[in-house]
Amino acid sequence: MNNEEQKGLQKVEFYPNLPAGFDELSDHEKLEIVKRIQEQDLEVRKEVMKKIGKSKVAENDLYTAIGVIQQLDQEKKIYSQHHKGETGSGTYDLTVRGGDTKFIVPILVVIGVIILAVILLIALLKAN
Amino acid sequence: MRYYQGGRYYYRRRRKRRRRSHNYNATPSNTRQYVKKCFFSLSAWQLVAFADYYGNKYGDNARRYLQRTYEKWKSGETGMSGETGRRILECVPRFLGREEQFQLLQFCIPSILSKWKTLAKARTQNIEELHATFSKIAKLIKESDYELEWFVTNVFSQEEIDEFMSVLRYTMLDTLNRSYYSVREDISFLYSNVIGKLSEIDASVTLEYSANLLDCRLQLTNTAPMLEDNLMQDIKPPDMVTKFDKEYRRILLDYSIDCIKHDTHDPGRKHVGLYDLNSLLNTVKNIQDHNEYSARLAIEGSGGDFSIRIEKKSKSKIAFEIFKRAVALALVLLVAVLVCIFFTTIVLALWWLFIAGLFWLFSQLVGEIRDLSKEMKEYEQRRTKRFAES
Repeated sequence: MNNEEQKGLQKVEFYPNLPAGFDELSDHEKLEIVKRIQEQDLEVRKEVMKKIGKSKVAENDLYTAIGVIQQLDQEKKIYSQHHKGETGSGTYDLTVRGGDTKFIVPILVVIGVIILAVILLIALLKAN
Repeated sequence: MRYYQGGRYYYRRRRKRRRRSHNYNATPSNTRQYVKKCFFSLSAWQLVAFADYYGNKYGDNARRYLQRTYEKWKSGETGMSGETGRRILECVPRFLGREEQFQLLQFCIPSILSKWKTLAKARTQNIEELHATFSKIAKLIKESDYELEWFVTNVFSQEEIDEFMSVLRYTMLDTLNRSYYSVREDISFLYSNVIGKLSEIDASVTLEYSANLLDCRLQLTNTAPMLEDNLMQDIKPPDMVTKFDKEYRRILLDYSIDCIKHDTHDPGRKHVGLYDLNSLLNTVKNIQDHNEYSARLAIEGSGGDFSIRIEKKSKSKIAFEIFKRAVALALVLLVAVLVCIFFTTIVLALWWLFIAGLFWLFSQLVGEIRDLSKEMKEYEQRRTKRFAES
């Protein structure tokens, strides 16, 4: 829209996407269609509000989940937390793994394997 | 069933009938059922008019058979042959009201849409080629010939079929145009709102977008692509000239109202998507640095769906994993070397044993030969000596 057009009274097109045949309809039919569009508009708003509600619930669930994770961190536990849910626009899926950072157990396992391998090696050399 | 009695003439007719009845069986079941339902709902006077029309078209025998068997078909006592079914399909629509006739045309829409979906289906698509892909599909829709059911082409006039196809093409092209616009809007939303927010977190991010209409995943680039504004400049609504014009106008109006609904929904959809993204980002920001996490968020876009995957791994855990793999590799190498040495030792031992055995055997044989030669020589000497003494 250029500056010249913005001066004075302008014709406002409410529903520019309506097909050309719309103007040929009777006033009653036009009114019916406009009413239908308005009802649809309300329905869309309702749907968006529902989605916002769902998003708020998901946000709250995520906050609760992070609270649990922080608690587990404080207790220095090894954990794997999985949270899944629905948001207003789709879905979310969150997995958090945390806990012991020293990895004592896997290290001991690896050392054990190495010792076994060395014993095996010595046994083989002696056999030869 | 005198009408179907044997003889050479009837045999030929049966063969021909079998071939032609194939068409009847190939007709979608919803169309067949709908026509049969209409046929069995004909009032008494309509049935008389129908039988006359049927008789004029297929002969008096066919008419008499129809009149005799109508009640049995209706009650299900006798099944309808393929040939009769085909004739009923051809004749009944002429006795239906406009809305019922139009319903028969509408039964063709799913097969056309399914062909169109097949045309539109693309594999993974580079985002830079999006406009070219949509243009190609638009060209295919404009130029493709859709083969309608034999029944439609036999029942409806060419003008009616042309009008039906032009309305369908118009809605398909408009849907394609709208889909392109929606995908373009989604991509713009992605680069202007989503990517900026994702750069705030220290984690690896994978972004995916799949376009609904094309049913394919778009390969995204690091920088925002330059997509053309419009796919098709203007798509003119078709002119309605046949008796079905009101029905088509209703369809086009319903289509436009659906489009308005989609457009009205769009800002709300974006708002909710951003809200969800913010919630997830705030959550992952609160996870301690030494922890690992992976998060996936699916967001519904206007013309497709986004999938955002955020993954963070602990550096010390990765280092430990590398160490573990290195130790495992060293162990594998060690075992391999030992096995090689083991086998090589055994083979060498066997080789030397064989050589020694051979040598021993050789020396034994040589020794025996030498001993025998010596014995022979001594025997000859003793014999010579005895002869000389005697």
